[in-house]
Amino acid sequence: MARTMPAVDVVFVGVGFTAAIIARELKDASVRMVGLERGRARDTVPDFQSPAMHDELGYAVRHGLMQDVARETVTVRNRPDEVALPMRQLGSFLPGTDLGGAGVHWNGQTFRFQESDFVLRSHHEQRYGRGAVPEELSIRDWGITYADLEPHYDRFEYLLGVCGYAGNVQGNIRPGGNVFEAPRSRDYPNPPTRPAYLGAIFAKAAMDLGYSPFQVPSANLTRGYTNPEGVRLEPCMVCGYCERFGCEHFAKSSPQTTLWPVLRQQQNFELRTGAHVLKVNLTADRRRATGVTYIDVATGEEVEQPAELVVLSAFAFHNARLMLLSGIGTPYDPRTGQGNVGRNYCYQTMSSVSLFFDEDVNLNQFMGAGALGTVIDDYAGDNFDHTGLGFVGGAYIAAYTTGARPIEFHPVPPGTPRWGATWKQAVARHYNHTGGLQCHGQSNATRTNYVDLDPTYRDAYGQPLLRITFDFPQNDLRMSHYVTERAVEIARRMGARQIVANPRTAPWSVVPYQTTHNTGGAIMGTDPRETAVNRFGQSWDTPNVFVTGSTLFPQNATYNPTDTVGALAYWTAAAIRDRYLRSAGPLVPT
Amino acid sequence: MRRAWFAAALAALAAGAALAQTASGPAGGSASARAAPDAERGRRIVENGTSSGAVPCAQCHGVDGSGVGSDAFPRIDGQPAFYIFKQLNDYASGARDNPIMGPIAQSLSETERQDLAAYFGSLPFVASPPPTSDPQLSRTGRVIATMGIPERGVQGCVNCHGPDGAGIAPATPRLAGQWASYTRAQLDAFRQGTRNNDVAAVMRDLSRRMNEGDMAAASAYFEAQRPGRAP
Repeated sequence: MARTMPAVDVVFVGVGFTAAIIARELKDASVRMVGLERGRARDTVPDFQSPAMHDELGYAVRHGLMQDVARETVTVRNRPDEVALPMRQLGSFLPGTDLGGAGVHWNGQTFRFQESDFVLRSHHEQRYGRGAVPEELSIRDWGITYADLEPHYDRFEYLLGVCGYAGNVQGNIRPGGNVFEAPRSRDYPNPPTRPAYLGAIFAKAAMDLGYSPFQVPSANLTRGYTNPEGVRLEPCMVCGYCERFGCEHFAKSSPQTTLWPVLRQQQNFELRTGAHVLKVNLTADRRRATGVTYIDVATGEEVEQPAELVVLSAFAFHNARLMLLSGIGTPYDPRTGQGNVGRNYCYQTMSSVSLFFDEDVNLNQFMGAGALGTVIDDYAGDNFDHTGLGFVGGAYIAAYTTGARPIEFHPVPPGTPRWGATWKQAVARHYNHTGGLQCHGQSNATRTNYVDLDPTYRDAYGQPLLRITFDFPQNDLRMSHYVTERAVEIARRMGARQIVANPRTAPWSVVPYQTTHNTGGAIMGTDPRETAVNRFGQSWDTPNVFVTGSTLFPQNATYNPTDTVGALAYWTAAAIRDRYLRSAGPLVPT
Repeated sequence: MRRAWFAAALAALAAGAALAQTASGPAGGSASARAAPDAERGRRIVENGTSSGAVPCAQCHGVDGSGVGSDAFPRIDGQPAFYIFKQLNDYASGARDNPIMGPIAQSLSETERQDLAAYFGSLPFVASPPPTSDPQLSRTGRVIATMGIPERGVQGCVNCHGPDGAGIAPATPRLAGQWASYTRAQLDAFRQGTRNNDVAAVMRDLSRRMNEGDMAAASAYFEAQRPGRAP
């Protein structure tokens, strides 16, 4: 018999960026809120302090800040006719856990999506004709536009203190910034990073070839900054320990460094850690949520938390899983094409080019930061004419200098022995003279890439694991090959002695790390039969459940998702505060 | 404009790379036009001064670089060579304003500055017995050094200055063993803005959020530390 806690108005499942944002936006609303976090509380002090934080083995290799796959994981396969197996070690992606979620260990690369990304299908059909979108793709419009989201991007970027040079302020194109970007209402709050040496060489080569390089918008701060919440961030020391690590310098924007100091003092919000939510409880007709049931992980006790409103604010696909576990909406079935939860699981289409330079080119990449990069957007999204190319989508090409840490960074040319004296000599020869270009590509949806509940495997609490069925669409492979060839051209211009292209190949493997940019599963849109939530992130089927995060994306764009995740959280928060709390019910009629 | 911006960035980088390269010694590569730094030539300047009028460094800093324990004469033994080189350049240019070191640094050629940096950078830190300091002050200092003052946004000193303040080459100086009076005076100078050659103004920002007691405690703590050489 579950213990029942006093009822609250709002319960959050997972306390990372999106829950913290919405809870702050509801600070003046007369609602009582509780945030349920399966992990523990943690903060810059004492949890992210140096030198312990620079334990590359503990955090980068052994994933000290990530989800424990011995308790809870996913099963994976490439095609619906295969048997999925559990991911028993983290590899391709790294979901976080504990307070702050993956917002603690991200790199800080903070790109907006393009206007066309939000109307992807109609944009392509208008520009290239009705047959232009390959048959295999189930790409969609989002149901919102860039203009809807712009004020919320702005809020999120000022919260984080993003550092960049705007390339388009209210339609004024400004060389030096991203001249391809959608119009922003005002400048970035902080000045851009300065190029690392690799980035400077890249910029020169890119300009020689007619491209428009700019500095990656960075949430590793270039100067001290007090955000609109009154929380102070400090300048980045370029120590090279961002992704997979917490920041000891208060210099990487995270829930802890941007929101938590004020949220922890907010009277109407309670954080409850060690609370692993099993499901959302529904009325018999499934039209209304009554709260959630969670396990107190310290005692193993089942606890019921009644609530008027449930916000699923866990990492990406965990939200889709909770909907499926709870019976919210209808599971998607790729054979029939029916169902609205589980559709359009997407990822990121990554490839790279390695550049081996002569020994007099010292890149010194150990001085790095997660978002320290120089990039071109000329081949992103639909920034270039796709006529006759045979694919939709694109990729940005970036020269990042993120840290070159000693255990994991030891580039050697192909053909080098994998161990022994020759390998060691090659590492010493190439360590400081090898850079990479990254092609960070769009991921388009297909009918057979989706998530559902695994029929066989269960987690530590006895619940079915989420099953991911994913492979790279032929379209995306064609796109990736095309953009990788462009990156090789830039690499040649950069004067590398040896260039090795690492194109994206199928099948998708769960083993090598690619990105933690998992999207889709509980997608937003305008059609209740084919999308899980409406344009505000509100469940069509159970309207007192809202969903946040990249699980809402109908497909993934060229760019890193965090900026759009944050903007959508502000968008959803405004809808809850200004509309739902005044008149509970569906915000979009069905 | 775009080209100008990147061209400026490139030029700055090229200069920076050259500095790092020469300061890190012959292993840094062969592209630099400058002569390789020579610690032995540096030692001769430390002991004898230069014909252009620089007094021997040893007069104030000691032949072993360990200073004399006043707030004006820091220990510079075992400091990262690049840090020494940058300070000499900053003294010479006025970026670090100091009536004694300014003229001395100006009278040194760039080669002499890098030779001196190589010499002091090559010295072992002299592990003299640590001073006996007020245990309460040391405890407070240890907390500030390792965890900072989070409620005022002051990060722990060791996050940048390395475990026990051993320093992190090339740019972050060693604090361990430094005379507390000197460290304290530098924190004051950063706070008042009279020293302003810190990266991204980080020391000026931090010191403004520290009070007198915090500065005394952190300085005393680091004076008593005896870690090994900086990595």
